[in-house]
Amino acid sequence: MGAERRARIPAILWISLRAHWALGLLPLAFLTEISRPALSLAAAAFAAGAVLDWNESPRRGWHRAASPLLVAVCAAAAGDLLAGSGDLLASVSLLLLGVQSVKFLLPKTHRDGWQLCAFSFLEFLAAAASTTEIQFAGFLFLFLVLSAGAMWALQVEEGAETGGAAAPRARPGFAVLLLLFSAVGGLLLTAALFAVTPRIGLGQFLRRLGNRESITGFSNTISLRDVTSVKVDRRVVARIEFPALAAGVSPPGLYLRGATYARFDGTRWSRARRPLAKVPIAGTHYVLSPPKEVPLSSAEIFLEPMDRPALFVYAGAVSLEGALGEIRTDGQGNYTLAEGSSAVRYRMLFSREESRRGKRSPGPDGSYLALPPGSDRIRELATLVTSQGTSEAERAELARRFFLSGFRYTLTDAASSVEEFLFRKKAGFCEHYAAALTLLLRAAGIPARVAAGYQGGEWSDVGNYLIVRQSDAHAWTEAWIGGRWVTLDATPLLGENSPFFARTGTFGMYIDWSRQRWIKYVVNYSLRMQAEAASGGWLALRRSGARIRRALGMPDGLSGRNIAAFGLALAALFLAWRMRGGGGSLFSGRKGAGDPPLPRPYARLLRRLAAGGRRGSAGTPLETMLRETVAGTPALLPHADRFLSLYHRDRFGPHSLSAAESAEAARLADLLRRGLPRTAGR
Amino acid sequence: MDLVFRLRTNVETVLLGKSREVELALASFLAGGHILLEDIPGTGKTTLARAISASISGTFRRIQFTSDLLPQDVVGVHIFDADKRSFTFSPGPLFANIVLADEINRSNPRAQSALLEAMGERQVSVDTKTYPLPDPFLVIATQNPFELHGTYPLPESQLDRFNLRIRLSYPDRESELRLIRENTLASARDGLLPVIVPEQMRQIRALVERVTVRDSIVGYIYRIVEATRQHPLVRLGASPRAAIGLKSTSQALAFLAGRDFVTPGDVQKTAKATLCHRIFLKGEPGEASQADAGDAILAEILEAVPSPV
Repeated sequence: MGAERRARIPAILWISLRAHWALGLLPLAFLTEISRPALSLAAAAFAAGAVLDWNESPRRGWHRAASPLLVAVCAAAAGDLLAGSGDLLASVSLLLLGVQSVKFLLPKTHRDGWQLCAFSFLEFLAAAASTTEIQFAGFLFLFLVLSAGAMWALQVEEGAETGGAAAPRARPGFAVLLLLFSAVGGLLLTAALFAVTPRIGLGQFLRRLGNRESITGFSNTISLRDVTSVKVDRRVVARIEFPALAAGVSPPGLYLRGATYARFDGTRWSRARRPLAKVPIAGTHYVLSPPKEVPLSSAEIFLEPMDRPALFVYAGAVSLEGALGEIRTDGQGNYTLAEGSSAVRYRMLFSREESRRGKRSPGPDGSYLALPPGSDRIRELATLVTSQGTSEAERAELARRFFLSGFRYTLTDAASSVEEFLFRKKAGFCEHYAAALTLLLRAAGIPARVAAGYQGGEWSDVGNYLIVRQSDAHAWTEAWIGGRWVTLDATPLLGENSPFFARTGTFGMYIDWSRQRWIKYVVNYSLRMQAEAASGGWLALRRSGARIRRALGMPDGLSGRNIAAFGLALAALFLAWRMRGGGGSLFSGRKGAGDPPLPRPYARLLRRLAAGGRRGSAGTPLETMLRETVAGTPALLPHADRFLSLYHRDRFGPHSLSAAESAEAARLADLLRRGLPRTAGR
Repeated sequence: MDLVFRLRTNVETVLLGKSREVELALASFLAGGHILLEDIPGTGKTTLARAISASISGTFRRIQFTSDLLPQDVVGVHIFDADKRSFTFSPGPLFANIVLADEINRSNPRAQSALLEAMGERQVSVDTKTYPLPDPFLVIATQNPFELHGTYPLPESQLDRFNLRIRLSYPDRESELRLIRENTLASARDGLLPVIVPEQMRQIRALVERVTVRDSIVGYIYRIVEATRQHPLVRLGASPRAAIGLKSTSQALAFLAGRDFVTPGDVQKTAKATLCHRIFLKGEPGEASQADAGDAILAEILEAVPSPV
């Protein structure tokens, strides 16, 4: 039986049906963050099911395993929602995947085929809900093409299963129409999503949904161990894109500053006690420092939720842009958001070098020169180290170089105080280096402070952005030289020798990339990005149009408007042709060999009757169904009689109906369909 | 058309409360299919057969089948004509327009088989000669259910030659009350007047043959017949002859309903009567429950096979 059935379906249709079923997995895999093991399982189930189907394996008794499996899937999804990801979309996707996998494995009727197609479509929608990527358009196209094949295959399969005489569900050409509709619908849906998403604040909603633990930020005081203790954490803190980079700026070499510390009491560093002031806003920008006439780099920073509402900036930040609310600053490089613990996105302009004219910022006060009591040895050392320097910059450089030899980076037997680090153990980690250099500079008369944040990060070639992790946390020194704060890092660059170094695999990179896309385009999608995307798309369109025109050797005078007008005229002609042809073939002229397809008014009435529970079995003719149903409503009886006589004559009589009669039949069918009671119960 | 209506009312006056069976019997009669009436004694089998035969003004013979009936008693014999000094054929009771074979399963299979050629080919072979039967030729047989005493079940080949098996059950309450009230044992309602002559019968038959059967209906009939052959409980399914019978009877039924085309409803109404007796189940033939089981299987098939819309 099975072999016969498949023999009646061409292999290409069989394959296209399978491809359609599996297609739902692709966008999930590439555009979302659904659990990879679940996806792999579903893919394996699909492959196994396809092999079994192809070999016509009967799989008796497998149905019995279905219910326990489904229960397990439900439990897994619920568990994921409660204790796992906690994300509704992810859990529902898991559930979908599970049910789909079970269906993949079992033998399938055409009904299962339709259901699997629906599953595929749902997964497709789930992916659509979580992406605005251009790749999605590719999936959309693929989906539509395969849908045509799948529908065709299912029609054929259904025909084969019911002996070629099932009430045809769709007219030929209906599939084409459906495809057109879905294409237009998909386009409109995408447009609507594109237009509506930022306005209804989907990002806000999603942010609230996600209950992931936030990352500890940098507190007001840090001790010698604080920064290094977070370095074991591999969680991502920020993802940074660099839309524009000035010459000589390399992203992994940048210091992302979260906090500066001015005061040192011998064991702990704490922030300068300054009143917080609002950061001025000019237009859409937050102005951090007066504009400079130097090449500016821009960075687009996506910050994960943090405990502390601190804003991370690069040294030399000029302005910020983003929906950040009110930003406060103490004027010493610390920026605080009005509310913490939410992921934010902002764009920052920063310069590497300072222009000579930017000296208007006031110099630091005396607290940046203060040393803790009992620092005489440090003063001596400072004099010793920096005596040869003639300028502040030279002396600072000398102080930094002092740490290059004789000191070693260690995590295990680090010094417990700055003195111990400088004079006895000479072993420690970044906080030691930063604190020691700061004190040394201060002793040499150069205002200095400790800065904490993140240094460098891992560059993702997949998405061209920088991944900053907790393990990139760092502390360094900033010295006031030449009227600006200069970054000085005494810690030796360890690179791959660092105990915290870990390279992310390709797979991990892709996962992180999808996460970045999600954060960028869904969680933090803004009106401005929308406008940028629109203008970018329009520009790309015009560029490609110009390229095509050049390639075709057309004169530039042939504008896009002409082409559009031509296309519209073609569409109108096509529509007119369809209306003429379609109107005629809608109802009459349907005699011929085999089972002619059921005209739409009849089909709708039939569906209505079947939905009312009147179709006790496949063998129940329409006449019986209608008579049984109408028995409850005597008012419809004459209509039913008249309709049945017309219907029978149309479908089984020697001649087709005249136009007037077929119109009457259609009218009666509609009238009956509307007048019938909804359910079988009387 | 008028004729048909008169024929119908004529028969229905005799058999009360059995319009469905009467309709089917008439349809088979119009289609030229032989009819087998089966049920317990006293439910009106013979009455129906006589009513139909009486309605047509052709020749009518009746053969009472008994256990000692011989084939020559049915078809006729060559006897020596002393005047002509040669054998001449003396036709048996089979040479008539309508033959009523009463209690057909009370005779032994030998006598039953005498009907085979007559019913199938409408001719009779005696010794070396073949004699055509008159047209129209129709056999209406009655039989008691197998389980009753002193019966020989009909062989499959014989059963297949009957186009229709109608089971007359007890009449409904109203009809039976009326029956009891109006009838006595002595007065039977046999006083029917013929309403059509054989020539008209042939005309009607030509009309019936012209009733349209669309391809969808032909396919439906085929699927039903095929389903009987594939059913797991069935030993022997319906024959192509059964399929033709089903089509022709459906045509006649449509004709009786005043239509010139066959609907799926016609096929469904006819299917049980035309197919039930041609389905032979696995297990001992002639078992008590077989007839009912056949009904159930056919009902199942009619539900499962999708009807054209």
